[in-house]
Amino acid sequence: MKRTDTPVNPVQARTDARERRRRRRGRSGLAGFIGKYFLLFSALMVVMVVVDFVLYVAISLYAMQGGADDVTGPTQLSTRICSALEPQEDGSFDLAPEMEQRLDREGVWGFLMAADGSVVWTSKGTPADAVLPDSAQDIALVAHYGTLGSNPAFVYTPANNDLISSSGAESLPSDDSLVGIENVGTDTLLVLVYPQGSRVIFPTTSFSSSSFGAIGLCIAVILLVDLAILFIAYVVSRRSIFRGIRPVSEGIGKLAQGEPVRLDAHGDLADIADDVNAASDIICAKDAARANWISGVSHDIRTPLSMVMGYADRIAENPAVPERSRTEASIIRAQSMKMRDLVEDLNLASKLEYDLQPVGSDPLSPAALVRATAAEFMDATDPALYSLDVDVDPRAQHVVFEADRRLLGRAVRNLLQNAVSHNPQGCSIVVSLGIADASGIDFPASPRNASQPNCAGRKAWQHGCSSGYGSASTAWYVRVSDDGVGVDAAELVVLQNGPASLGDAAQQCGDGFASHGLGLLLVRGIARVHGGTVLFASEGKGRGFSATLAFPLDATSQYRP
Amino acid sequence: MERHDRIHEKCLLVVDDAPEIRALVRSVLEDAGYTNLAFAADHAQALAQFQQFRPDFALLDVMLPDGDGFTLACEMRAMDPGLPLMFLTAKDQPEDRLSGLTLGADDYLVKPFLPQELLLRIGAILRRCYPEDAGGNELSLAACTVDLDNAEVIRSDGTTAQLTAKEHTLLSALARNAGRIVTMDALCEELWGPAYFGCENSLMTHVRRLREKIEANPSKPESLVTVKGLGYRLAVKKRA
Repeated sequence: MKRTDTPVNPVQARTDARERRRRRRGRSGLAGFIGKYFLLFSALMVVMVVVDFVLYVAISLYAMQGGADDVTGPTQLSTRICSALEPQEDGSFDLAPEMEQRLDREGVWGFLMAADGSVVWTSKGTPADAVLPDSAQDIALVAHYGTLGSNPAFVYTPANNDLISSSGAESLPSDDSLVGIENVGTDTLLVLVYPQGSRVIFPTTSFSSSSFGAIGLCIAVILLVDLAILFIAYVVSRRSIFRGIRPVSEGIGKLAQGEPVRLDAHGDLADIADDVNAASDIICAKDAARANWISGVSHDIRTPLSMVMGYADRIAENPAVPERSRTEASIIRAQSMKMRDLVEDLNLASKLEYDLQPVGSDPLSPAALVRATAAEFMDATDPALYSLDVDVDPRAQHVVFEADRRLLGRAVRNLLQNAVSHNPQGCSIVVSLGIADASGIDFPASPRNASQPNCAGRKAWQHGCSSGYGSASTAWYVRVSDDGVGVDAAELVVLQNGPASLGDAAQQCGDGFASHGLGLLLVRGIARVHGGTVLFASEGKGRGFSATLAFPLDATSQYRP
Repeated sequence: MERHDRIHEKCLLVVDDAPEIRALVRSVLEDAGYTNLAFAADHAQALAQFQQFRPDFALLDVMLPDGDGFTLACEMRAMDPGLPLMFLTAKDQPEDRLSGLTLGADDYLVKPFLPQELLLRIGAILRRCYPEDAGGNELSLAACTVDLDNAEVIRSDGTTAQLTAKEHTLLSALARNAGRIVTMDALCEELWGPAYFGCENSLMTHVRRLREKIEANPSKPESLVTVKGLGYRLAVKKRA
């Protein structure tokens, strides 16, 4: 058999998958979830603040450098004009021609107002219909609103080297202070009027001192509220994604355990859900194909086996044939009957494993079933080699249990057959049916017990679920014990933890089904589909062996008076 | 087994697509004394044989190359409603068994089979369906002979005793499984139907009374023996 470098034990892999799912579930409490994402969110906010700060510093630096070159800004332009204004004899001013050209190019015009409100200079580009302010009220309005008519306007005073209105965003480097004072004096106002729509004006407003102090607090509160809203949105969105993913991730976890999955395909994850469903369908189809293949083989082998069994039987029963040949023929007959049982076991085990075996549920009397199986067994066994005693506890006499008669009979028959197979020298077999305290027995969950959410459904019986059915306080049991060769402690452990499925059996013992074989594997499977379990015991080599099939005594099994 | 009553002259039709199975069944039936045999390999041939021989019993395979045995059984029953028939098939699933028996088949035997079992089952069906040809329904026991038809026990000293209805049912059930263990549950069900719970003591009473009639020494039974914990077994003298 070809093996990969790192062989994967499927039992171990399934256990790991279960453990991973349990851990995932454990982490996903609401508090843990929010705590985890609060840290993530805080880290994100810190990163954002740092990036914002760096960007702000960079942009400010750029603006300051760029501002020096921005010769069209009102402050820059005003200082240059003031420097370029030449006072004349008559108290008026002349602007240097290159500055006049420059103003024309920018579409800017302006005028200089003396302390008494008279206009002492107007630029050449001043429109003929321009209405110049001629009172303190007019100039105050221009300064406040930053507009003259509908054009942006800026009022500049060389005295403090700044625009009067608060809208002047640009301040000059300090070494350019008081530029132009020697030309225009400290008591003049220069007004520059820009083309309509070329500048955006922010008129000033004011706050009371007390409310202005609260602004900082207000901004902080608003920021905090904003952050909280952002955080809630973040958590909700993460949680909704997580909710969407959870069924998918659980589905994949189930797939890893070999269970079929059917996810609701809707929402953002519909494609993934569809893929998971498709994978599950493929696995199911492969399981079915494997079981059908085994079933086909077991069917096709029946006709040739009929020949072998039939003719061997005829030779063995023919008085005309020499005694020795008749004995040999009876060996062939016995072996071919073993083959028949083996093929039937294999077929049944594979169908149980892949859940293709319909499991009936009829109320039956275990006592009657055990007696019928034992009677059939005694009729077919050599009484000189094997003695069989049936011991039915009077309390178990009238137990009624819902089960598949054929499967349960098969399990008891296999246990009897097991005693015979391992004791070819002969032995005494005792079949006992009784009722016992079940507090020490871990019953697996079975498909018939749908109250176990993680165990209900197909295949659950194979893997068992230790927390399952164990609450039953009493159990009824069938025990098949013999006084034959027995097993030692190590073998007993191997038996008790034996493979749960055909696949596991093939992995654990590549050379067949180990010494106790397919028969016990099937017994285990049958016990589990009925919510029961199998327990093995032996005092040691040569001191007998017993196998106990135990089933919880509860709603599905009751005493009948 | 070499009895030649009129049961063995009945016409038996065997339908199976495997020639080796037909050969085996032929040799088994012929050795058992059945002389009037017809064989068919498929559905069409089976119907032709049926028309020609009008068999008294049919042994049918379920999977045939041109149809299935269940349909064939229905067609045969349509032409001869009382025809006893039995399936011999590789299909062993409970649902197959159920469909066969629901059709009214008298028995259903799964391959691989032991020839002895086939013979016993065919014989039982024929004797049940053709009692007039089966010869006396007599049972030879250690201490007496029982005429089951008349429910009469004829002891070796010539005295006779009548069986009650329950004793007759009990003895018939044991006789049908002569040599094999019949569990107390099966006997109770035979006597009182499926709801037999708690009838074990009554069964023991009936067995004791029956022993008084059929055994030489009822406290040391030779014919109707107890199998401890299980039930009873009837030891029958081999038929002549």
